[in-house]
Amino acid sequence: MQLEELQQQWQRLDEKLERTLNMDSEILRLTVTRPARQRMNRSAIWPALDVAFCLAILLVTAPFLGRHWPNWSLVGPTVVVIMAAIALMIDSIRQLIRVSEINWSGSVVDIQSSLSRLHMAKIRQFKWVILLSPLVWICGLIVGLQWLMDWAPEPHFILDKLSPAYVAGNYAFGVLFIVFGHAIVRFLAARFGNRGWWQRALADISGSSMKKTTEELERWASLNDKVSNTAA
Amino acid sequence: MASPEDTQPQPSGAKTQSADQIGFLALIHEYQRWLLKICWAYTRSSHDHDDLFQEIVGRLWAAFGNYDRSRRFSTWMYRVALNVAIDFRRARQRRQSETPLSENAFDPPSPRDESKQEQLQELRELLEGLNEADRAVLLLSLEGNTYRDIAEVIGISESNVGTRLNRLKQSLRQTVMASEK
Repeated sequence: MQLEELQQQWQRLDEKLERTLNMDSEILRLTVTRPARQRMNRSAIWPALDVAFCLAILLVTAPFLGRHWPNWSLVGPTVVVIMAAIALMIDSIRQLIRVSEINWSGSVVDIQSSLSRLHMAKIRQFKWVILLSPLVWICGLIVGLQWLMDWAPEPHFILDKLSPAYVAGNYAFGVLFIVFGHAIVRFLAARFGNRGWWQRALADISGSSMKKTTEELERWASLNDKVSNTAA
Repeated sequence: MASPEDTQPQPSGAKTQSADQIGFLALIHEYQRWLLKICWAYTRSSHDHDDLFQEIVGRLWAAFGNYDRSRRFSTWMYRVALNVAIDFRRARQRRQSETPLSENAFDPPSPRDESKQEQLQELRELLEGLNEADRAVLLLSLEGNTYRDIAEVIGISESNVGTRLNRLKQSLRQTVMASEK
């Protein structure tokens, strides 16, 4: 088969397209009559939601920290929640900036490299969200319950109501999960079989997605070099 | 032959549309076949095909305000369409939930179409075996673009395009020789 033959096959596709042309004309018309601004960039949805969520967390936890200072049994978990919220917010804002900088009419090499970098940032964020979630969860639970208690007619100290073993156990699990999270996620992924989310989670946490995306980025970035070398 | 850029737009319901919309629709109508072929080349199910078509048109329309009228529309459109298609395919591969595209994705088959279907299947298999850069270069080449145009769209040198296409030709010959054996 020669390139010219392929070209003929490619042109033959035209004949098959006739039937869909009318239908797609309607899609075209509908697309342009919808205001462009309403089509929010899908890549920006999750980072935007994360920023809004983190802002809400900070608005609640900052006054809470002031109210309970210097009670370290509450200040400790509050600081963990605040730090996690700030880290997530900064990372999400950086992602939003990256998304806004993508100009889809740029060259394929430039845009695909930008998209690969954005994907790497998302993988990194997801990995750390999963690894830190048990620790942040117990801290968030303590802060959240105490925050609710503060509104009660007769406020109580939440740590008096929770079992010390439960709290200590959760703290220990949270810290150990950061170290051994990869092994735990691998176990869960094996247990839940071929469910897509687990497979993706495992790939993101174990670093295989990151490796793949890094290779992808390198491939795009060195496109000219590689062919020059091959040609030489 | 008049270039697509020179074509006068004649969409229906023009009274309710702005000049930009009318101009955009006319240009897209001219290139609609190419866009549909790109969708065919980058998807494996008819559902994904429709999704990708809408995604490309939506992205083109959203970016149309920033399109520099002094430059060729085709180059701009090829860039946006290929970028969206490559990104769409990558996202779908991550999900790994594609259903196979039937041969009649665009048209019901008839007995006399069988040989054409086979040829298109061959073309699809060939495209599936290429990396994203080579696939994009090949698709632009099949559409009759010059090395210079392809280089501008992809963002690589003209000599790079030439080398890649020569390598693809060699690879094609080897594939044919292997299948004949």
